Amino acid sequence: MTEDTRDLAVAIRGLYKHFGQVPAVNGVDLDVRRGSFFGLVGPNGAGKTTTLAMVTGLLRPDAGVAWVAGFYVWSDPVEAKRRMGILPEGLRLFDRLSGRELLLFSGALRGMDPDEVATRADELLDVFELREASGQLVADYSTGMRKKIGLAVALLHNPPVLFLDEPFEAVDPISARTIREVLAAFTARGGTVVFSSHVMELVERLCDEVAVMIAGRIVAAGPLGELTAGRSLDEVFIGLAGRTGDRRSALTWLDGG
Amino acid sequence: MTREAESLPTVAVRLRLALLRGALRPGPGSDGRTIGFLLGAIAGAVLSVGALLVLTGLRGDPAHAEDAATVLFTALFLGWVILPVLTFGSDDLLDPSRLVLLPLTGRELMTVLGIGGLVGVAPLVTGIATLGLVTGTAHGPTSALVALTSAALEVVMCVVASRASATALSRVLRSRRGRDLGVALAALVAVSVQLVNPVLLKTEERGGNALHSVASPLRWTPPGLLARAPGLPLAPALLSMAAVAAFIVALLWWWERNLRASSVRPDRSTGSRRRRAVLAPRLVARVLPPGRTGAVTAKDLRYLGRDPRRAVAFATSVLLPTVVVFVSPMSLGERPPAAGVFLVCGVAMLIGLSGMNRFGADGSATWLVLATQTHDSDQKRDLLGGDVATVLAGIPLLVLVGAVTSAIAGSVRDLPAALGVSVCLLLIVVGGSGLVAVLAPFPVPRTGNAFSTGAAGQGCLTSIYSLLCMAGAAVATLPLGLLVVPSFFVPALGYVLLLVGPAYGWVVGGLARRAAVKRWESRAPEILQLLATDRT
Repeated sequence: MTEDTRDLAVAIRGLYKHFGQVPAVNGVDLDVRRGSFFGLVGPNGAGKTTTLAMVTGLLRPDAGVAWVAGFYVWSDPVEAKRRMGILPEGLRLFDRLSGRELLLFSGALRGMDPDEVATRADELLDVFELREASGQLVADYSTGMRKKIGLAVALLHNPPVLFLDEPFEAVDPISARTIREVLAAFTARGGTVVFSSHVMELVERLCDEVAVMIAGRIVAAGPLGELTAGRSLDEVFIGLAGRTGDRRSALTWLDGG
Repeated sequence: MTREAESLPTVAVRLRLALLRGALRPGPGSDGRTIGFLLGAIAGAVLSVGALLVLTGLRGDPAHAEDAATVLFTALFLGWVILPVLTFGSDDLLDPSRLVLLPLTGRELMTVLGIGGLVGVAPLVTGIATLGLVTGTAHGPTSALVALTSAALEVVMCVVASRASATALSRVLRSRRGRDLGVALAALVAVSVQLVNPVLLKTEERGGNALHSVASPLRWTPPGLLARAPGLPLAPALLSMAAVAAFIVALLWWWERNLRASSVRPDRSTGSRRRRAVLAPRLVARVLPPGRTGAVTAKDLRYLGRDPRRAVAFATSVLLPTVVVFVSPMSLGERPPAAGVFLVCGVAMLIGLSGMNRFGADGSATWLVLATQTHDSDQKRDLLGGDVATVLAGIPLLVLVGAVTSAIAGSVRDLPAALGVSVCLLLIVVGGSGLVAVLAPFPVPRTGNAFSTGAAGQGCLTSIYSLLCMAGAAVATLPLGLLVVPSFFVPALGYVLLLVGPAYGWVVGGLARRAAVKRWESRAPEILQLLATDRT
């Protein structure tokens, strides 16, 4: 391990993953500073979820390495997994448990002290406004509630690095605000957040560093200000994605009746 | 541009045909659907033509033909009533709330749902099968006319009853608990068929007429009345059919009432129950292992009560052997076999196998297990935790079944030996089931038909492995047999078995678990990837 990867929250080198003939992740290198709020943006199908799954030890890469908080994810998974919290997208939760039971369960899975887990669980349920629903089965939760309980599970063991896959997808505005506030407080105290999204405005508002992923590759990465240089992230992204032309002059018959 | 507005029945038929075409259209995941549809159609064709041929074949034997028709008509009717519970959500024309936004009156809504219900594979199958009444029981032109009318009434009654029950249940079925109930009910139907079957077979073997014993209490039900009408003189036949017509009108009235109510009442909410939920009740928590192992155990025990598939599978493991060995001979007035208490060995193996697709049952939620493997040998705790849950839930059941059956069979002195061997088998099969779970996991679909348990090939592989697992356990337990036979003569040896059996089983099951842990350590991400087909 080199000096610089030990100081980084996340370091990725040469990550590849193919599904059949299709390359999902096609040689990704990425550095994430400790304490940064890092946004991984890209269109649907760009390989964001696959990248995050490989970095968090849920999906075995075809090639490449990743370090989280200085530990090799795939050769020292025990140490690496202790230092990360994960909110995957599209994977289920143990939804026949109630919200509180799910938190107690994940704390016990990590071998944490039961009393400490109970205290933290109640505090997390309060912060995420899930106290009322804490006895309800997760199967009966709304999408926003599921994201919040998933985030609570990810935070329970106080990890230095959080990986959140589309944490704001299909979340109502009030839940989204709660999630934003909790994440802002987390990074302000030195935690690192890596999150993926295809909503540029959100990334622009929250992140200090950004990487743009298109078709399995990182096409641009760096501090948000350097990357955008006065333009909006949306414009930068469209430029990188190679989409041109103004459609405002098309469909002239569409005049509002 | 404007066309003459089509009549409502035409629209209903076209909508139904469009839905059928849509279900068969190629697209992601459509192969399974198309194959399922074709298999269903083939099965329907075989069943309906089979029923038609059987009834036609019974032509010379009016008593038998009438009994067969009664059973057939009742089975069709029950099938139609239960159908919505099983297929709710997969058939858009079953759920009145799908159409509630259209500007239709209650009567018009009933027309669309009812006429739509007359188009499709199921009504066709029903229609063909009921024609057997004409070919099998009609004698003379008047009787043939009665039979034809009866057959038509049967089809209409089936459709109306199924729509009415769907509407009555729609509020319940739209909630998660309702769907859980559907899954449990479907499994119970499948099991009860297996339970009834041996009893009927035995009846036949002993010269009884199983068909008649089933049919005679059904004669006065609406399907029974229809089935018997062609054999009656004209006046009583007309009276029977009039009674059924009145029944259909009553069903229609009930349906309309519920339809009106269902469009104004909200879905039944699945509200909260307990405020301070804990993973395991205090009493249970005391016997649980500490840490991760205990967490997995507690979760599995919770799921046993909350996941209908698991609850039913567990109940089946106990009921099936008990019924085959005990209830069915007793229902025929025979004494159960004296060594019948050893049926707990079969119960033990089936309970042990309940964890054979434990990761598939959890589906993609397994990611949390992977993400929290934060200590050395956490993988062992994952498997051990599940095994402990099965054993903790299984042993009390073995003791209960053993105590009851040995008391009935008058062989209480064999109980210790039987329990010793069965606990040994349970411990071995449980360990082996973990190995099956990591060697051949398969995804379990969350929605749709409760009978389908996933990709056919995968489930098959799992079955082969689980058979191997049971055979292996049986072979591994053979040495205990050296003690079982003498224990019939020296009862004290039974108590030796009660000690030796579990200890031996723990060791052998532990060997299987060790192999499973190795595989789980090396293949967990691949297993997760395989199961992540239930993406939301």
